[in-house]
Amino acid sequence: MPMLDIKNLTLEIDNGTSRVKALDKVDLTVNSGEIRALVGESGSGKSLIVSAISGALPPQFHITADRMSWNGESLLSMSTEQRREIMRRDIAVVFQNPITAMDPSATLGEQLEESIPDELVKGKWFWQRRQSRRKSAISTVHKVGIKHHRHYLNAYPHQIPTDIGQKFMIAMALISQPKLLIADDPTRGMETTTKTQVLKLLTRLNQTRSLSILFISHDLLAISSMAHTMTVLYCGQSVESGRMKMLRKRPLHPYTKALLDSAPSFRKDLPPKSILPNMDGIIPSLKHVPIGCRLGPRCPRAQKDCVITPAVRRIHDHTYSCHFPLHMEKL
Amino acid sequence: MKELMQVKGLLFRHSDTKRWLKKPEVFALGPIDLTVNRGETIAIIGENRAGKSLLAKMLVGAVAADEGEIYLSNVSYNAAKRKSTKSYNSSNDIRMIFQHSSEAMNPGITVGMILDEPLRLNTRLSEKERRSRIEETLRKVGLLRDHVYFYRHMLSDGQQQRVALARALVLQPKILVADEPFAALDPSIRSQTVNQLLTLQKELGLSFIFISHNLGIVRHIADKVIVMENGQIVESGKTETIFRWPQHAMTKKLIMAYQSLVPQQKLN
Repeated sequence: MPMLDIKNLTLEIDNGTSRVKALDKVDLTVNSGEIRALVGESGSGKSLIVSAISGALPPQFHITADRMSWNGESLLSMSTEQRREIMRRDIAVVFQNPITAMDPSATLGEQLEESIPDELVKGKWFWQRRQSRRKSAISTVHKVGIKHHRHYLNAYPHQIPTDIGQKFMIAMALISQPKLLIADDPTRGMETTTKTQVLKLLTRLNQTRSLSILFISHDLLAISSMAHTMTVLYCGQSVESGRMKMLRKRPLHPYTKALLDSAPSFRKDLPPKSILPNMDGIIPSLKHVPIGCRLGPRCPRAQKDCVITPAVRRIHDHTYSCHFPLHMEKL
Repeated sequence: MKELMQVKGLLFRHSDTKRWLKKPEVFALGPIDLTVNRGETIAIIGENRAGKSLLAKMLVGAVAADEGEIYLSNVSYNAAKRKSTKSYNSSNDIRMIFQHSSEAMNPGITVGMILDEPLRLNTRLSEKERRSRIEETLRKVGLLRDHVYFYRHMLSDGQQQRVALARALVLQPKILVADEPFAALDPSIRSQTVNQLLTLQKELGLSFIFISHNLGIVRHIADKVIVMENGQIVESGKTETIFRWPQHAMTKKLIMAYQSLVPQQKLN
């Protein structure tokens, strides 16, 4: 049974006169012990899904979903306290912009110790508890690969470089020992060595503690090295979803193929300095979303039928939504 | 191939004087020697705080070095002396694209004015000539003539990147220095930018020095790779040689980290 199960999540934004669908019938499941990658370019609504799951949406956003449940309990119908309890204990979120997501008026050590749940703190007396907090803070900080804990635990968020901030966000998420980690672009702008370090850490946690991870990124190289399953989003619509291996070997949706082609590391046969295959045009903004399949205007295989939103089709556990998928050669 | 740029003994020192209970911070970059040939692409890789951005800034003269000389198309430039205007001579042959290209643009003026500024300050072209130069450059980077009336916020990420490229190209340089030009871009926009650069390089014979963390792209477009650690060049050479037979420990670390992510080819 999936841990996190989302079916037909639609998010509408009121902009005074009309409603814009920022997310249009997105399906997403995360099974326990699974690393699910959520891929999409900026403006595809990846971060909106994170906010929708964590319940951090402003009131002018309207969520409707057929199903949005955590371990069988519906997230939409539960009370705020219950939901907060789940967010506190079971789900941890690494936000996109680490420096702005932290409290600027407290040191990193204080923030990290604050996020340790009481039941994980050992000791009876306050000095024992304080020591235990300090100890687990230091060990978590070491675990994510920050060496000089004394320096950084006493620093304020504005004093640290971004990559330390990113690691710190991961530490803050991991210290409460969650069941699901939602990581919103945790490796953005990181150098390769640090990135592999973080990815290895996440993979190890997934294997040893069977932590489920929802990994949101557009770094396909990082994703393909660790994720088991992948969901591709484009402009608020889920485009294709399935096992990582299958998707990489044989993508069915033109957009997935274009995404995979855009990373030169995947292609050994590509001669150096050759032109990379890519899709023309840019991601449309929310004000001007095309009707039907939103990839339509950019898609090389688009035809008249593409103005109707394609239904989700399924081959085993591989789902896609396209009228003219790549395995149907005849157009 | 013709040598276009030669850097000799470029040195930068930064030292904080010792204060009460505070260790003195010493950072030294160089001495760095470098030659750039015509139409060549050089990638600078390394960890954070290795001095990559500083080196790029020193090459274009945005940061004054402490010692060293730069020869650009056989004219010598003293990289160190910047204070007195007399010994300061500028060149239009080298231009830079900054790290956050969209934030490096003035939001209050139009694209046309952004591109006009370097021309007004560095050339003696008349207004009409400047205008036609701007339009020509915009076309070159794949934008339209009408984009001169646009403000920064009206453009998408990829278009902003193109404007940054246009601003660098408007003075018709021979060498382009870019600090992480691909880092903040989405995959499809990124490959568009890479293609743009490759075609421009072919058309204009540009030399291109860039910093990147994305080793996949480095491997794809660079001719030569420079590896930096703690302000020193620890290894440099042809891209394939560096990627196949890394010698220095730092290079090995970087390449190994990259290789562990790349899917290995399987026999099936």
